[in-house]
Amino acid sequence: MGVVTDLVRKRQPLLARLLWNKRTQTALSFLVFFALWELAVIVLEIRSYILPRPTEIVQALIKYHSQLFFGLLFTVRSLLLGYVVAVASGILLSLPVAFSKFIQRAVYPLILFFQVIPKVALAPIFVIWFGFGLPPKIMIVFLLSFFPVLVNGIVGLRSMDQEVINLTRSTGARAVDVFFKVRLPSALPTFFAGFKLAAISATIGAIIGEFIGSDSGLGYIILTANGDLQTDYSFAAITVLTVLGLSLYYLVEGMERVLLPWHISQRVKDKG
Amino acid sequence: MENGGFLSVAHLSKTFETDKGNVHALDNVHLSMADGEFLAVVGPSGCGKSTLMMIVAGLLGATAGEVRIRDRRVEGPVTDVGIVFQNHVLLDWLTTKGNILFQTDMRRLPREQYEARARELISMVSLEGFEDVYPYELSGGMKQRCSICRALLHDPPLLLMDEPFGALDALTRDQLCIDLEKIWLQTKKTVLFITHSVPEAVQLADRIIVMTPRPGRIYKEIRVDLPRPRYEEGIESEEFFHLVEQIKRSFLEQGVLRK
Repeated sequence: MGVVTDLVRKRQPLLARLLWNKRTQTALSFLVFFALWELAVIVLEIRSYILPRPTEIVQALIKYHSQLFFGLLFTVRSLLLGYVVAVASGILLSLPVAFSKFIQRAVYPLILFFQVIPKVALAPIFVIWFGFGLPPKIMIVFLLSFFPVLVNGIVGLRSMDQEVINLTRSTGARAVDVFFKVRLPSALPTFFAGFKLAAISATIGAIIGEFIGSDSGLGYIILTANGDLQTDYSFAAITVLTVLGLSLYYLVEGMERVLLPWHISQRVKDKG
Repeated sequence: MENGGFLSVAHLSKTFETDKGNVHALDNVHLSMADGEFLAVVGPSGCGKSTLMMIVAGLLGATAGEVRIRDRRVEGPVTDVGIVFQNHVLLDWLTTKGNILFQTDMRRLPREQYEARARELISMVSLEGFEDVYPYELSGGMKQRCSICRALLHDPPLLLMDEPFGALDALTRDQLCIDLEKIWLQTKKTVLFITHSVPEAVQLADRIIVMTPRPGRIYKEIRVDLPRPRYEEGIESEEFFHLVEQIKRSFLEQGVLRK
């Protein structure tokens, strides 16, 4: 079927072919969205401090680029530190929980309990415990991204197909070999799903940390710009933040693509 | 029965305890297999024929009775065996070659020594050119070929096949039947072949055991004396159709098939 549609498409004029292209379509829908926004603000005479026009946001990005850059550096630091520690400890802790029935029974309810706590609500308390520096911010990033890694890891390691189990049993394989050569690789896609979820949570965590108490970073810029009714500056910081979150997400996805070329979600994207 | 040399199943029964009560899967099954024999077990769905294979493989315990292989009682998973499951059970992250050599990973065999054998098996099932491809790039029939190679890599004397072609389309099935007979003629393994396809059983087996519906009992045993290789003319002979008819009739007698 793919061949047929390709043939049909080649006969169409250049413009039609461009419109068919998936990238052009994505770009177009963004363009239309921002154009409508720009237009709406002008036509409805919305004041700039309530909703700046996209072009104003771009101007703010240029005007405040050095402040935004240093803010970004600060935010990236707590974001990456918290995220990396969360991923590492999430992986490590998922192993004993997945393998020991005893640890599972003892620890899993606790994990669920902590996962349900709205961790954002703990942020102000971290300021009391850890002060205003980097530690409370890392802590919040860690808390928000740790659980997705851990829970996905446990699920991935525990879900091994019964037929695969039978296959390995019929080879008389040792438990170590089954773990490293079957259980771990089969859990990797689920692990990566957790890493991606965690990347999104980590970005949220980094900003909350700065909202609660900080004198630098993108979250701090958003707060102070808001205070001064510099909404365009605020939006510029949000833009940088969005790009940061997306970058982390796609970094993880890129790693998945390289490390797990056989994985279903990779394949679907290749063909889509 | 035959010189019950290789494998024997004696008074085997299996009951599964479930929340809704006991399910009798197998009832007093008694059979034996000679070395190098191809035995097919045919029966309706749910007659416990897969359960029988699982017990022979030592992957499932029996409620009563015993299985002996080369006069040793089976008490845990049998490892000197190759199993082909209904689903290919290939590992997503391994290539065709990797999946076949998976046996060496699990059994801690020297991989280099088995590379040549893997290549040989790959060419025997015509998978050349697909050695370095992941399972998702293979068709259903190719996946099952790969899993047959995996079952043969370590050269086990016994091959257990649980409806290996059940999930394939009719043409692919026919092709794999032809290939399997070739492989069997070359390797002379003892094969226990579970199927619900009567022609498949007649085409491949030396002897066919027809099972009753649950609880699975042996209803009938039929020798197949068609000349081999059967894929040449055997499957068009009158004798072939006669045997297929005979087995179908026994399903009619049991009420598995109704007119």
